[in-house]
Amino acid sequence: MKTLGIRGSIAAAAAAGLLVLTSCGGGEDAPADGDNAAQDGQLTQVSIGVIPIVDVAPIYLGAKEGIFEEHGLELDLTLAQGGAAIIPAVQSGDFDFGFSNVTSLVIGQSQGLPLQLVAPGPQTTGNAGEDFSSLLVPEDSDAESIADLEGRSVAVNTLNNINDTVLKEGLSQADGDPEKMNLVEVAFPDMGGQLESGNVDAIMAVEPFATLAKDAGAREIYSPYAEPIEDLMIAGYFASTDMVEEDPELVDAFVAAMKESQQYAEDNPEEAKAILPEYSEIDPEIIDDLNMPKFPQDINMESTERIIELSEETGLIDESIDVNELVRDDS
Amino acid sequence: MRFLKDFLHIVALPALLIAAWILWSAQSTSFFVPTLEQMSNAFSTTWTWGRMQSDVFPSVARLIAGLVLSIVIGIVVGLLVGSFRWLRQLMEPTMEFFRAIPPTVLIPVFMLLIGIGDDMKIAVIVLGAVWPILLNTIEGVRSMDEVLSDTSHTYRIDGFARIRYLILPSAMPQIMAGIRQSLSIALILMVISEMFASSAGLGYTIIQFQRSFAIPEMWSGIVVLGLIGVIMSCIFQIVERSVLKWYHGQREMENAG
Amino acid sequence: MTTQPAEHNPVINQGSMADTPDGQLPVGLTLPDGEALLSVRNLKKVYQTDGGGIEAVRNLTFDLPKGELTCLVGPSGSGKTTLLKAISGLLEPTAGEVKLAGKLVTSPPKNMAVVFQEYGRSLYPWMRVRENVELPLKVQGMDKAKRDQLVDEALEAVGLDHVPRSYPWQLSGGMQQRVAIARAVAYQPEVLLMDEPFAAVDAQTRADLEDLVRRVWRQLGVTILFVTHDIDESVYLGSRVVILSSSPTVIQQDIKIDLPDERDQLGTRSSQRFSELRHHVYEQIQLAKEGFRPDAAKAQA
Repeated sequence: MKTLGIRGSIAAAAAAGLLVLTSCGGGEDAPADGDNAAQDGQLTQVSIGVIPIVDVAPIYLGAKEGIFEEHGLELDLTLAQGGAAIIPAVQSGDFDFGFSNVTSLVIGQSQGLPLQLVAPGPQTTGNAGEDFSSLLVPEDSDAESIADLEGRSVAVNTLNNINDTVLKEGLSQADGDPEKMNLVEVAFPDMGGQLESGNVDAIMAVEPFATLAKDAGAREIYSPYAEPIEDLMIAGYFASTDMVEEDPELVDAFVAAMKESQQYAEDNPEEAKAILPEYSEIDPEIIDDLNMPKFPQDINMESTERIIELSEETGLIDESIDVNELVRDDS
Repeated sequence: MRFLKDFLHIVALPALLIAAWILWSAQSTSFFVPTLEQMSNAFSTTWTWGRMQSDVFPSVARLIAGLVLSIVIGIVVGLLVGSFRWLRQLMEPTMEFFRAIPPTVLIPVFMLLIGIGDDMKIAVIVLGAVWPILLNTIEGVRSMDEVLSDTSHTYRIDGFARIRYLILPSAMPQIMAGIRQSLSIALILMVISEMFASSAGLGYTIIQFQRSFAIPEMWSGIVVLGLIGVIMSCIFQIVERSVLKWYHGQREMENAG
Repeated sequence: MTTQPAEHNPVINQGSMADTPDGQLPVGLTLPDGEALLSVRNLKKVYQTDGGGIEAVRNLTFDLPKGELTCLVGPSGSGKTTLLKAISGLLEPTAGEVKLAGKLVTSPPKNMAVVFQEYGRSLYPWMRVRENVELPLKVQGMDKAKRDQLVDEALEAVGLDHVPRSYPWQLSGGMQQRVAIARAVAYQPEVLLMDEPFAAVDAQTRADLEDLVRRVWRQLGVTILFVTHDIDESVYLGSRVVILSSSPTVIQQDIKIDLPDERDQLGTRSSQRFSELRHHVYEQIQLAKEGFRPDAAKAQA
């Protein structure tokens, strides 16, 4: 009789545990298929985990324009919910490369995850009010600047990551106390509703959600990527250190193609916008209004170093890490 | 002696599982499989009294609130629906509809309607945990013994007394079975509800650990979750044993006879 | 129908035919207005099913004088339970009426108790013996001292004063039925209806319980309507036996049981008169089983 009860409770615990487990990804012995590489003009299959946001437009554009093919690569792009699901999959070899924001990689590296940033991702335009991320308040709010948000509630998509880091930095630059900002985790698609219903005082949204919220009447008071850190590079493409060490040719090929794709997107912003509906649910009607990020050629070492510093200051990591270990050498 | 045997029965499987894990983790180099040492370190440094107060107790309080509400709503509505055929016919399709909706997909809607505080999280727990109790109560009321029902009528045990002395105790075995199912659902939904618009809580903490690759800490959180499940189950057993003493006794007599 | 030697014939209470809404029918003993405690008039029950109406009870008319122990006996399927449910107000009759002490019965009246055949399903398994007996009194709002006294007396009367803390399911079938009887006794009804109460207990226990019913009846002066399919039981227990026809049920015969009031299992059952009466009732039941209908027979004659 008693054993039955224990069994029941273990099942409950296991079920609850499973739930958490499912979001941390796959096995560890998936084959890394880098070695049977691009010989005799044959394309090498490369699997990459990305997120359905504007940030990854260049890689889709590059694949479409044949840039990756020129470098002997055939891309197998998989859309994932977020960086949290991509990092374990890259570490375990299910993905050859992944897309992640820099803070997640910094935290991962500090926890001992063998990962390296290999290619640049989106960077702020640097123009306040014309960037792909916005801090928004309701039209009738009395808040005029980020300093007014001290003691208010602000929605961010993920706590303890890049977005709350830049907000806290922004507030302290405006002589506010970042500890007094009440940050709440709300998914991007839900932010507009939460702002309208008054559950939060402000939201930090990225495109296309920022434009959608602005269309619904929200007012921008701050550009959280453009203002606190100069030329902030928000995210990038990364690989496991195993991959970097064992198949440098493949990594080189990927990095070269990626740089070219970034440049292509930068040179052809209309095409970069046009490709968005092919992998995301972005409403074609608002595409024209979107603020696109900059797509730089090189990994911005200064901004990455600044992110490491801020991560340590806000307690996201216990000990500082070396930016040269996080970023692959030749990039 | 018997106590010792019972005790061995209870701890045998967990001990075996822990042993298997120690062996497995010792030879594993995977970042996501911590060793026993990492785990026990993580456990003692993570689940301090301060952490219990800031993250565990509020979660457990919401869990309890959600369960209590589920039990009250499930039993009250179940008694009504089970007692009136027309109400049952009226409600059944609607109930099936709402029951089929996973509570998680309604969270964004709840966030708009109820807000993002504890109310929303408790509502999520209730929306998932109420169904087994409600449906079991309806079934328990419906499957009332006809003779017992007639007997009560002839002794004019009607109205509130009928509910108190006849319907409720008679449906209690089913109600308890429903509550048992609801316990695990509520625990799962407690975790899920904290994935949205949270800044504290046990589920939130585990997710944060997972996102920040603090793997031993994440596993230690899952262990805490499991322990809560075990404690809940034990409390439930004690309550059930005393509430349904008659039922188990009767069943044993029937089986023996 | 064969007639028997005159001296052996039972006294027929009221065998005469009467005009009823359902035609010329034999009716049971009826009393002048106001004298009967329980009065059943032209009771009819038709069950509505998908295949049309099924007439279970066609017409029953009889009276129960105060203080009498009447047995209702009939072949199986003769609508005994239907009749009992209609009398106790659990079932609405299709036509006709039941009056208890001059008041029309539409729902279970408060001066009536029922003991069902299924003792295992008529006691509350979640209550102890004492609580089972006490509950109807408690719900009435009777004060604790009065309740305790009535419960004690009732348990003693059925010989269960030693098991008040047991649960019903811990007791044997016969003991459980005693609990049900104790509950009815404690309720202090004017009329006690018993629906084949001993059909599911063994023969030994059954004899004891029959004597218990006789004893309770004589001690308390309660009016009892005892439904059974057991011919011996009906003759042994009753001061009167009402024999029912097969379905759709009408009254076949209503006879007086002129056995002495002091009865015991050995002496009474081996007496000449018991045997004659038993014989008579048996014949009547056989006739009913063969499909004999008093209404049709008389109509043809």
